[in-house]
Amino acid sequence: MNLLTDTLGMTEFWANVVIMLIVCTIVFAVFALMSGITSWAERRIAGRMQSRYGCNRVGPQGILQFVADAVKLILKEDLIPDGADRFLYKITPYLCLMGVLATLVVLPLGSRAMMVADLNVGVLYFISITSIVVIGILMAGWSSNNKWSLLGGMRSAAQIVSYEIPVAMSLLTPILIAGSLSVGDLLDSQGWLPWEWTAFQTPFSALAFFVFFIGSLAEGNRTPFDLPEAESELVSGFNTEYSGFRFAVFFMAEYGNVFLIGLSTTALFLGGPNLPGFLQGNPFLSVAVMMLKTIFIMFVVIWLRWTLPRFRIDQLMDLSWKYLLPCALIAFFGQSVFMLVAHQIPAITQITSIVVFIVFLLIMIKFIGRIRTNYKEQSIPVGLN
Amino acid sequence: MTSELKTEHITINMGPQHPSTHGVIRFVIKTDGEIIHECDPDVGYLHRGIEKIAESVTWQGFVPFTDRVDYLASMNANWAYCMAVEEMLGTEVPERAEYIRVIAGELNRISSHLVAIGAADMDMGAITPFVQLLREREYINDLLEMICGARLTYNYYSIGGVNYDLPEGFSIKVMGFLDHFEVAVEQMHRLVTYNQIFINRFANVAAVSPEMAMDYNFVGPNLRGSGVKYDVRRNKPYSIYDKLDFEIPIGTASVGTLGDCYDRYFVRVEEIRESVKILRQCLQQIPEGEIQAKVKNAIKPPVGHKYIRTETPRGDTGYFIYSDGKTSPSRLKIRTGSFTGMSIIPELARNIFIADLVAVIGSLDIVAPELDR
Amino acid sequence: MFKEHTLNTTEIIDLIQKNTQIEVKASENSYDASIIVEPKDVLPVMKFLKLSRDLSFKVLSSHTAVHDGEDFKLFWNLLSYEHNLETTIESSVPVVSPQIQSVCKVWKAADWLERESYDLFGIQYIDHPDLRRIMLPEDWIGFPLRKDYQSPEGYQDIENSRSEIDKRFKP
Repeated sequence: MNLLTDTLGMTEFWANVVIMLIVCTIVFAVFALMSGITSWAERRIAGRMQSRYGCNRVGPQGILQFVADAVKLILKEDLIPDGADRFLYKITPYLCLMGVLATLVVLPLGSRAMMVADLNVGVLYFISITSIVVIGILMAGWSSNNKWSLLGGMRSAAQIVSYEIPVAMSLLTPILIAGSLSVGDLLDSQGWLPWEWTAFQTPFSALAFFVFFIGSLAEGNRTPFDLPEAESELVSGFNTEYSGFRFAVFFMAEYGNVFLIGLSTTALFLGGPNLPGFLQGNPFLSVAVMMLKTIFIMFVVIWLRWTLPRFRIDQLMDLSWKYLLPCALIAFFGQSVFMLVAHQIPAITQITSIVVFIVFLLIMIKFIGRIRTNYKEQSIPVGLN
Repeated sequence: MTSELKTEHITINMGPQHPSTHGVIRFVIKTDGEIIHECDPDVGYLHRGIEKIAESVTWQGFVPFTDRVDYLASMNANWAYCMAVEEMLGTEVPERAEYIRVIAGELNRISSHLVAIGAADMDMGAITPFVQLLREREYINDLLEMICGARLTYNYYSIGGVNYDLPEGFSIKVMGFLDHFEVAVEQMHRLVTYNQIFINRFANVAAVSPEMAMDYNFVGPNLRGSGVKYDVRRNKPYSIYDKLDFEIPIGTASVGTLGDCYDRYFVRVEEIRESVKILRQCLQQIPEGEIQAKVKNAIKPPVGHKYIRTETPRGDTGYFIYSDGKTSPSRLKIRTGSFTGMSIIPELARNIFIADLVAVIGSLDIVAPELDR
Repeated sequence: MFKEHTLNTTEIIDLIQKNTQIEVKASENSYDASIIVEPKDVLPVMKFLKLSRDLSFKVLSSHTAVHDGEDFKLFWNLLSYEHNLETTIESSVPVVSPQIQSVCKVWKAADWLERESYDLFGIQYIDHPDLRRIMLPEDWIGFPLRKDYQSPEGYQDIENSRSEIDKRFKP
C-alpha cells in the first residue's frame, strides 16, 4: 500500500483498487487451478475405484489433463442452438461462475489474514451469494430451447432453493458458538486440536456439521444429489447444449464448487487453518493445513459421488424438508440449551467435546475395519491365465 | 384472480440416442413437469430383418445369426435355435455335449445378468458397480473365449452338439473363477443392493401383479419377479436340467410391493447364485465322450411347424419354425423376452416420474437388438 | 408340484367342442399337435381356452403368421402355467383379404404381436385398438415377410438398387 502511494504517487483509492485486483487475480488463479486439479483428481480416483487407470497420458500421472481439456474446449466451435435466447444463453455460464467465485471473497485460503475481505456479515454473504448459481442454472435450462435442459434447470432450482434452508439453519450453530457472523471470528472460535473444532464440540454441532455437509453436496449438485445433471435421465441436464468455451466455464464452476464445499466445511466446522499456539499465524503452515483439510473433504465428496446411486426428485425434497431441516433446528435449539448449561458449569464443554470426538473415532475405526474386509476379499485370485 | 391457470403437457422425445435406453429405443413421453402421463415406445430402430434372412440361408447357416439376436447371451440364443432344429430332425445330442451346453449357457447367463444388474445400477446413477460388474464379466468372456475363441458372438453350438471340446484344465479355471466371483457378487450387494437410496429408487416402483404379468406374457426373471414360479428349465425340462439341483427364485416383496422393480432386480441377483450352483454340479458330473452327433450336411426337416421354448437370461424365448421340407426354413419367428417386456411399458409408465421410467427400463432388462430382431 | 397327467390335444378338442359347440379339428402336423379353428371362430375359442377352469390358458406365448401359397396360416401358441399345458391354435386366412378378429381383448400380449404381424404380413386385425406399424417406418410400402415381396429400390434418400450396390463395392 505504501509502495503504491509513495513511489507511484497514487491516491489511496486507486492503490486500494490495484491491490484488490491483484488479490482477486491470485484468488481466481488458485480457484482455476484447484478446479482443474479437482477434475483431474476426480478422474483418477474414479479410475482407481473402478479398476481402471483414468487419465495418465498428459504430463506426469496425467496431471496436465485439465490443461489439455481446457485448450481443446476453447478451440472448439461455440454452438448456439436454433431458437435459443441468445443473450441469456451467452451470459449464463459467467453468471454461474460468478456465483461460485464470489463466495471465495469471505473464505480464507490460509489464516485469517489471507481473506479477500473479512466482512462482518461474512456468513450471511456466503449463504446468499451461493444462490446466484440457481439463477444461472435456471437461465441455462430456459435459454437452451431444449426440454431436457429445462427439466434440469427446474430440478436444480427446486433443489438448491430447498437445500439452502437447512444449510443456513445449520450455520446458526457455529454462529452461536462464535457469537459473530464474521468468518474470521468463526475461525478464531476454534482451536487446533480436533476436539476444539466446531464439528466436534457438542453432539449438536456435530449434527449441524452433518446437515451442512449434506446440504452443500446438494447445493453443489454432487451425487447423490446430481439430479440437475443426471446423466442417465436428463442426458446432461442444463448444460446439454453448451459447447466450447462456455462449457469449459460451466465445467470450471462445477469443479470449483467441489473446492468450495471443501473450503467452507473446513473453515466453518473443521478448525480452518488453526495451528498450535507457537506456530499460530505462520503463513505457509496455515495454508498447508487449510489445504490438507480441504483436499480431504474434496476426496470425500468425490468418493461419495462414485459410490452412491442418485435420489429421485420427491425423495430429495423429502430428505430436505422432513429430515435435514428438523435436524438443523434441533441442532440450533440443543446448542443454545447446551450453552446455557455450560455457562453454569464450564468444565462440561471440554468433556463433551472429547467424548464426541472419541465417538467419532470409534465410528471411523469400525469403518476402516469394513474397508479392510473389502480389500481382503478383493485380493482373492482368479487364476485364469 | 378467478381465471384458471392454463397448463399444458410437454411432449418429450426420449431417445433413440439416450443413455438409459440400452441401445436404440425411442420413447415419446407426455409429461406434466416430472410426471409422465403417457409413454409410447417406438421400437424398430435395430430391426435387421433376421426373420427374413432366415428364409434364405441354410439351417446350419442361420446359427451365427442367432448370435446377433441377443448379443448379451449368444450362447443361449444359439442353444434355443439348435435345440429346435434338433427336435425337428430327431437328433440325439451326446451327453457330454449337453453338459458343455449347460456350462456355456449358464456362464453366459451369469454374464448377461451381470450386465442387466450393472446397467440398472448405472441408470440409478451408481457408475462404479456397473464397471465392477463388467470386470467380472470380462473374466467370463475370457473363459468363453477359451472354449470358442470369440468374446461376444460365439457361434459355439452347432446342430447336434457343440463345435469344440472344452480345453484342458477348463474346469479348474472355472472353479477358481467361481470362488472369486461369489465374493465379488457379495461385495457388489453391499455396495448397491442393500443401499437405502437404491432400495428407495426401486421398491414400490411399477409393480406388476401376477395376473398382469401373465396377461402381458412376461417371461423369465420379470415373470418370476411378479411371484409366478415358472421356469422352463424346471417346468418343461430340456437338456440335462432335470438331473441338476437348483432353486427357482421368485419375487417376495421383501422391501416393497410384489412385482416391483426391486423384486425383478433381486430375482436376477438370486439367479446368478443358482447358476453358480448349476455350474459347480456340471463341472463335477461332466462325462467323457462325443461332443457332436452325426448330422447330414444338407438338412431337410419334414414339413410342419415346431414351437420350442428355452430359458435364456431374458426369459422364455420361443422359436417358432415352419418348415416346408427345403434346405432353409420357410418361416422362423423369434419371440423374445424383451419384446413382451417392452409391450407393458405404456401401461406401467403412467403417473410415474421420468426417473422411474429409467428404473423400469433398467429392471425389465431390455436389450434393443433382441427386441427388434 | 404339478399334476402328473396333463391333457393332450384330443382331450382339449373334446373340451372345446363340448363347451362351445364349435367344430374344431386336430391338424396333421409332424411335430407339435395343433388345433385347427375356422377364422370366424377364433375369438370365442380363445375366450373359452382362457376362461375354462380345466385349461386356463392365461398366457399367449407367441402369435405369428406363415405365408404358405394362397393362404396365411396363423398360429397362436398358448401356455397354461397353472396346469403346465401347452397348445397351438391354427387358422388360415386368404392372402387376398387377410382379415381376422383380434384377440387383444383376451390377452394384452396380443397387442404388440398382432401389430408385428400386421407390419410384416399385412394381416388386418379387426377391433385391434392401435393397429399401426411397429418395426418398420410408418411410410414403408409393402409387407416384407410375404413370399412375393420385392425389396424396394430405395427408401427416401437411401439407394438400394442392386446395380448401385454392385457399382459401389466393385473391387
